[in-house]
Amino acid sequence: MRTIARLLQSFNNVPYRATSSCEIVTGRELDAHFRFYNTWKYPKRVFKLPANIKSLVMKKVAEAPKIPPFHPPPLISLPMQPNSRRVGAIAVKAGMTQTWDENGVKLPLTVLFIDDCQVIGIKYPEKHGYWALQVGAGYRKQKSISPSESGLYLKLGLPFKHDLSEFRISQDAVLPVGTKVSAAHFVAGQNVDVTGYTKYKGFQGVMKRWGFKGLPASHGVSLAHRSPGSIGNRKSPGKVWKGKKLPGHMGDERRTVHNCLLYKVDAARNLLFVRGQIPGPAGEFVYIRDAISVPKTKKATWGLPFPTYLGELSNLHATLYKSPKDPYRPYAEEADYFPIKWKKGD
Amino acid sequence: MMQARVQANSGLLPLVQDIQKDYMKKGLEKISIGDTVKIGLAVVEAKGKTRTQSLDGTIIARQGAGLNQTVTFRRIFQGIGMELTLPVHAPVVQSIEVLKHCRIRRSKLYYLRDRVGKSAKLKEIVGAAAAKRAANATKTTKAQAKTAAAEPAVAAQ
Repeated sequence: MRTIARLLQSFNNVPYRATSSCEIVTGRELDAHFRFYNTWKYPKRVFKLPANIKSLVMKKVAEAPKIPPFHPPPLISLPMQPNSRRVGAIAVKAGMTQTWDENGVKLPLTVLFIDDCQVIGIKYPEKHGYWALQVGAGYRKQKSISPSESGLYLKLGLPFKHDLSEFRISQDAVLPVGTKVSAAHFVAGQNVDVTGYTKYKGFQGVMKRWGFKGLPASHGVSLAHRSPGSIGNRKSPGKVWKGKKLPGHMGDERRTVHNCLLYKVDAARNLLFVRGQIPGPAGEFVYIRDAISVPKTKKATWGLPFPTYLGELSNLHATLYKSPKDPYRPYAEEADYFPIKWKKGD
Repeated sequence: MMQARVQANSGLLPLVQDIQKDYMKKGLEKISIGDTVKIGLAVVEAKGKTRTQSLDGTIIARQGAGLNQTVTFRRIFQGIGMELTLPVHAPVVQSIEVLKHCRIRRSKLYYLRDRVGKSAKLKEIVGAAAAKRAANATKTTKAQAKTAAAEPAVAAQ
């Protein structure tokens, strides 16, 4: 190990520093480094500046304009503007059930569980260039998180979160750090965009991955029933095009399902019931946001709490979406007749 | 600041099963394959009123479990055999009344589709076997007794 350290040093002629403060890394430190990261990863290099340059650099750093920290305004209910954009939530896909609504229509439902979703950080234009909220959900033990991450939660005074995500917002939707985004943030009957990572399929062949038809099962085909067949031409172009559909890794891709109907909101149990299917297996995290491609007039009718729901959760009852028309009701002349007024000359 | 998991004391699958219990009908009579039943279906009329239409027939198959259970119901209407696959917990199925139990040796009675008339008749369970079955039906299992004991306690709360 000592020889390796000397080799590294001679290779780049630059001192290395591992977890300890000394410049030259010893074999024991390399061992410890290897054991912690469980991979052969070179320790981070530290370059020492010459003294005259360093003094200049420190002067410039001191003179540079400091970005002031952002203090969010006090949390009160605000009226939602047409261009406002609220924060989303991180939920766990619990599973699927079905139900029948008051008209007898069968609805497949996905159960989403919002597990202690809280705002972890705020991103603002002066420092980051845009407005966003960092949100965390779930729970992990401190020992299973890296020290830098657990230090962040200890500094903020928040429980250790399992999953983090960022949601772009408008300026008036800013929430202070530690605010809970519960199921009551969403309203039954609204449309949501649900993002998840699809189910992992592994290395898959061309028929499953791209929907190729394969080759005939008989008529002389030998050992190539599920193969792609030809993948190119001849001398021209003389190569296989980039992006050619071939076997490979399938699944575990980030996908969004747009305009899902939120059928039921059970805020006391922090459950959301979304109609239909969403990407990913049960037990994985999904990210829920208000639907973007919805006319603003329709969005205003939902009555979304802005910037979030501020109130008691335990008193809330489950709210359902009521479909406006019964699809099984037969045509009735007195209710479904639209009188046409004929103009003169028709 | 150590905080325990706030909401989930159980896993996700028990949670979904617990939710499904809310959507299931309570107090359903036990239906076996081969039973002759009278099903009350909800039918929507022109004015928007709902009335119940009763149909007699046999249960020839059962599929699924819990909330997803469906039964295939067969009847002969004006000389034509008709089958209806109905989810047991759907609101369209307003009542299922068992008229008689029959002796069967399979779980799916699809052979009845090829039979007409007397050969399609199923043998009814009578006598001592019927009495034993009736006694078994009234006897509650351990799990049912537990939930029955828990319900008044919950209602009292």
